[in-house]
Amino acid sequence: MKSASPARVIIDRFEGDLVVLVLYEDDRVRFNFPHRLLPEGAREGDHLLMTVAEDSDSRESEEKRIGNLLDELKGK
Amino acid sequence: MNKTLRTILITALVAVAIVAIVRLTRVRNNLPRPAPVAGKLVVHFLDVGQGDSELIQLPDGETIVIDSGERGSPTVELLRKFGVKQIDLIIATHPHSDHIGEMRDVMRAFKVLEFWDSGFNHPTRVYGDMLQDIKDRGIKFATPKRGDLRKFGEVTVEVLNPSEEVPDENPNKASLVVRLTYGAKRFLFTGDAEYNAGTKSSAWEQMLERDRESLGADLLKAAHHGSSNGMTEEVLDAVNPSIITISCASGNDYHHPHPRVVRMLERAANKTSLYRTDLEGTITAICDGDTIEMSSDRQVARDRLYLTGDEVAGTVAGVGGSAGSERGRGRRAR
Repeated sequence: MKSASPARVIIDRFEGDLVVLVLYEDDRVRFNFPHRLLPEGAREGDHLLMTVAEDSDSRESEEKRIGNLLDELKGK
Repeated sequence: MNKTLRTILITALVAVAIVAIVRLTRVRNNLPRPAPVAGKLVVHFLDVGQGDSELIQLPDGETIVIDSGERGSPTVELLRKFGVKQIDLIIATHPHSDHIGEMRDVMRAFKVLEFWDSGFNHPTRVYGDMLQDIKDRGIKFATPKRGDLRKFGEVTVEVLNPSEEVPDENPNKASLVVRLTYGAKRFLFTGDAEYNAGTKSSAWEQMLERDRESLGADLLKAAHHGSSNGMTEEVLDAVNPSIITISCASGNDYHHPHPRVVRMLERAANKTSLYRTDLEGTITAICDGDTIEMSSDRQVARDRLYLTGDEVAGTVAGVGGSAGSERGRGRRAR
């Protein structure tokens, strides 16, 4: 499985169900993230390591499902 | 790989992609505005998108800037447009990125004489880098507390929050809240002060408990972009403003302004005029000490004024150009 180096991100703030994460190396890059997917007890100001990894099993399974659907829909 | 981790990774990638698209599609509409007016207090609620920034031009020519807006917002450009040459005082209400993200660029662009900060230790790069710049530039730094006063000619700046103890769990609780008084008129700037029922330490609850009888203001900048915890009936009653401004971006992701706040302000419409940067762009208040004259970048049909943040988000394409009973530039507020 391929994965990039973990990204360092900081929880800038909570906004309702979302949190605003800011990339440590470049504060121009920020994004919303569901609060419920954070580690339990996460607080504003926490620094996180976010691993981004390819999930080829998931992709293959979805390709298979969609392939089957397309086949069915096209009347094969 | 377990399912939760997979979900997290996919969500993160989608979020990054969405942010990239949103950042590329921002559109701005900045019209020419008047320069500082001698003898008058001029307050601009700058259209910095999702965030807060206020430019205050004092009757004797001095300049105060409260908050800078988010990183990447056009704050420096707007300050230049309004003729700012030097900033006598910057006030950073609290260290969230949508309030201080552009501070370093502001300090780079203008000579800054003094900096007021909440003093809340928020361990983010944005805040740390801002403090480092203040230090490197040798800017006079202070963390004022409730009761502190500063006179700028005939204008008084008064600190209402935080009290001596800076809460350590949430930057919003530490929000610097300041009130400017010029003649008979008072302007209340609230940062992201929150009202969290049941938690006695929230900024609004503390202010209401300590200073309920003296919280009054003619113009209130709604706290926390019109979120449900920034404005309550109790706050509205205590401040009793004739003008309220809300600073947020149209189509923001955080449901600002919140439906409960919008409905509350609509019910209060007979005594309180509402202005919104998401619909009207930069909002300007000009005060001679007796009256406050309001104007804005864009006109907005009255039937759009009380749309919730999510309703605006659903109709962003229509903002600013619709027919109906127009209101806008040059309205005289009560």
